[in-house]
Amino acid sequence: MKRSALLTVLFAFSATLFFTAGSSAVADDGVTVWTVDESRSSIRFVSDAPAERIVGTSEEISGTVRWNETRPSTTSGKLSFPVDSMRTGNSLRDRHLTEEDWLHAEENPDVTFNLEKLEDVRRARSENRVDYRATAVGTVELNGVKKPNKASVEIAVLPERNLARIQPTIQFRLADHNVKGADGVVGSEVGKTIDVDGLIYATWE
Amino acid sequence: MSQSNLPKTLTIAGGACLVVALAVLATWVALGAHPITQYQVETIVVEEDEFGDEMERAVMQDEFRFGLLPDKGYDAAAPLMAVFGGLGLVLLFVARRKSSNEEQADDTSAAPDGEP
Repeated sequence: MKRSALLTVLFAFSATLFFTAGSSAVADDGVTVWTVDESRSSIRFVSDAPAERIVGTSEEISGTVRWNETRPSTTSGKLSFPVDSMRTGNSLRDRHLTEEDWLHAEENPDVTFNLEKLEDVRRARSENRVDYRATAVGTVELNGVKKPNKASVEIAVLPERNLARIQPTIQFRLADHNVKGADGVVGSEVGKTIDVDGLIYATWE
Repeated sequence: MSQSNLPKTLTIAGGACLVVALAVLATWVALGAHPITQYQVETIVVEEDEFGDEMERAVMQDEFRFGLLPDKGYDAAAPLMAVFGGLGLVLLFVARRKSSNEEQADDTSAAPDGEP
C-alpha cells in the first residue's frame, strides 16, 4: 500500500515536471500575452513600379500577441504602425502618403494586422529556443478598409528570457483597400502591390 | 549698356543659363540619375541578437541623393533645369528680337534722303 502510494506520488510529481518544463509564466489556459518591444521592432515596405522602386520603413510598431504555447494555432493578436511613421527618404513623398488620395492618415491613422489564428504550424526545438514556421491568418486594415490576408511568419522563442522574435512577410494590393493615389500614379510610379516584411521583438512578464 | 551691346549681352546671358541647365542635367546623370531627391536612404544593418542569429534590419540613414524631382522645392534637377533652361531660352529670344529690331532700324536710317 505504502509502496503504491509512493509510486503514485512520484508519478504525479514527474508528470508535473514534464508538463511545466520550458514553459513561460502563463495563465492556466497556456496563453501568454506578448507585448511588442517598440524600441527595436521595425517593418520594411517595398513598392516596385515601372518608374521607380520605393523602399521605406516604419520603426513605430506596436501591439500584442496572445501566444498559446500548447496550441499555437489559436494564437491571436494585433500589430500596427502609424501611417505618419512611414519613411521613404523623401519628406514630400512621406507627406503625400498621409493625404486623402493615399492612406488618409487623418481618418485612418494606423495600418493594422489583426491576427486571428496560425495555420500549418511547424515547430523545431533546440537547446534553449523554440522555432516556429506558420501562416498567420487575419485581416489587414489600411485606409479604413479591412481585407482578409495571410502572412508567412517565422517565430523564435527564448522561454528562459521571456523573449520572442516575429518575422512576418506579407503582401497586399492597394486597390483592395481603395488606395487610388493621384491619377495614373498607382501602377506607374507606385507598385500595385506592396511587400512588407518585419523584424519584431516581443516580451512578456 | 548701349543698345547695340544689349542683344549681345542677352545672348551671352541666355547661353550661360542654358549651359547651367545642361550642367545640372549632367550632374544629375553623373550622381546616379535618381528619380527623386532623398535626404535619407535605406540601409541594412546587420546585428546579432539574443538568439545568436545575425539579423538584418532596414533603417533610414541620413544621406543626400540628388534626384530629378524635389523634396523641398528646388533641391532637384527638374526644377533647376526648368528655371535656367527657361530663362536661357527667354533671354535668347529677347536678344534675337532686339537684334532684328535694330537691324530694321539700321536699314531704315541708312537710306539716303530723296532717293526713291
